[in-house]
Amino acid sequence: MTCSKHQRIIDDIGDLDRLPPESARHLDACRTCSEFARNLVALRALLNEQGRVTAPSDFDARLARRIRDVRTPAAPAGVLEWFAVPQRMLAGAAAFALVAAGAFVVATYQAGSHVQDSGQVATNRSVPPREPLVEQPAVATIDPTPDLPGVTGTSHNNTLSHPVLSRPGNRRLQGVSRNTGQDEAMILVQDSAGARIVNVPRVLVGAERIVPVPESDASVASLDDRMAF
Amino acid sequence: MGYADVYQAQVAVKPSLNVEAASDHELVAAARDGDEIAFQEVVRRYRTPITNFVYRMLNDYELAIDLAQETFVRVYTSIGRYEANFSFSTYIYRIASNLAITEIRKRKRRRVVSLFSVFAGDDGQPVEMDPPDQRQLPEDAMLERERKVAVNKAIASLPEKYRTALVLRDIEDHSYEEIASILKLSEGTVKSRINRARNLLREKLGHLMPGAPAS
Repeated sequence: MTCSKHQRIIDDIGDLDRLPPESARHLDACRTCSEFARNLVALRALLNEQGRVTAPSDFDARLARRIRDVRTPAAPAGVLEWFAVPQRMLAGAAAFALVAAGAFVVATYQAGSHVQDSGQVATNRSVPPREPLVEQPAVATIDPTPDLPGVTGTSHNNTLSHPVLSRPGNRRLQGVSRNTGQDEAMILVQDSAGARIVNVPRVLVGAERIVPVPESDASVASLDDRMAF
Repeated sequence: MGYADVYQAQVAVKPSLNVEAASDHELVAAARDGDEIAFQEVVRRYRTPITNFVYRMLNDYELAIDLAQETFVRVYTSIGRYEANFSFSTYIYRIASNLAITEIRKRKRRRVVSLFSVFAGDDGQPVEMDPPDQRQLPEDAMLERERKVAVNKAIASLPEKYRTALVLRDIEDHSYEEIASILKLSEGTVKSRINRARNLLREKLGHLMPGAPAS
């Protein structure tokens, strides 16, 4: 038997007192194997000197809890639990800082734009702004106004079919069109000076000329000026 | 009660397994069928050897308990996939050794520095930081404590591949064949690693071994 095989036997048995006779005799004769055996026994004795650690008394109970937890899958981790990991917390803080910085930049930009707009408005306000045109409902049915002095001819009801554009505060058309049977029409106008009848050569309603008239007609132009709806 | 009912009742009441006399394979088979008592017996048989093995690998008792428990959890959850081609002992030690090796590698990545190794000696190796104990220790107890610390530190200093083989062989007393099966290596490789580990330990612990010249 070779030294290698004797050493394997020594390794397996470990206890030099329990070696088979052949190996024991070999140890007495072979210095290499004898040294191997002595070193091995000494090393094992040293390694096992401190004894074995044992499992704690609550090992089984802890294991039972752990297995129960494995059996019942855990609920999905909440946001706070997710952030409990330090790296995630840092990542979250960085993302928040990034979003906050972005919001600040946008807010700053918008504030600058607002200041610029305000300046523009202030500049514009130095000139009284022209009120926007608003659409007024069609003026109601015309009262025949039989009592109005100076009104002659056949009166009839006339309903405007077109909306009238006017500006707030301006004079407002109250009534329209009493056909005098001539080429003129009478319009009831009411403004701060009170109500009165105005004769016009053609019927004009609001800003829209119902009856086309020549642009050169001075009377129409003056009427437009007076009745700037 | 008709014949069918009696038969069903007989089938339902299985003869209880004598867990203490049962082999590991029988226990695992019973546990796979839902026998909790059989699984408890498996735990009872292996809890201390596995805890001790992991402790000697990591030199951390609390972590050893944690990983030993994780080993049993993995056995429990994968018991349906267990194949009885080799011994259950090999199977459970393989799980435990894999967990321990994973932990060792994690520690390497984290570069965990023990309070006992923050100071380096003249040879560059960490030396133990030993805070003074105010109590008066008997000399024997102090020497024993020093030996224990030195042995654990020497084992912990071994490369993981040597450490695992050595602990399985010289502390857990597994055969070369079992170790080869646990580590999925050839017996020759196992023997080589164990010899290498022993030589390294002899270099580190020679002064503590019987017959060594006094340092």
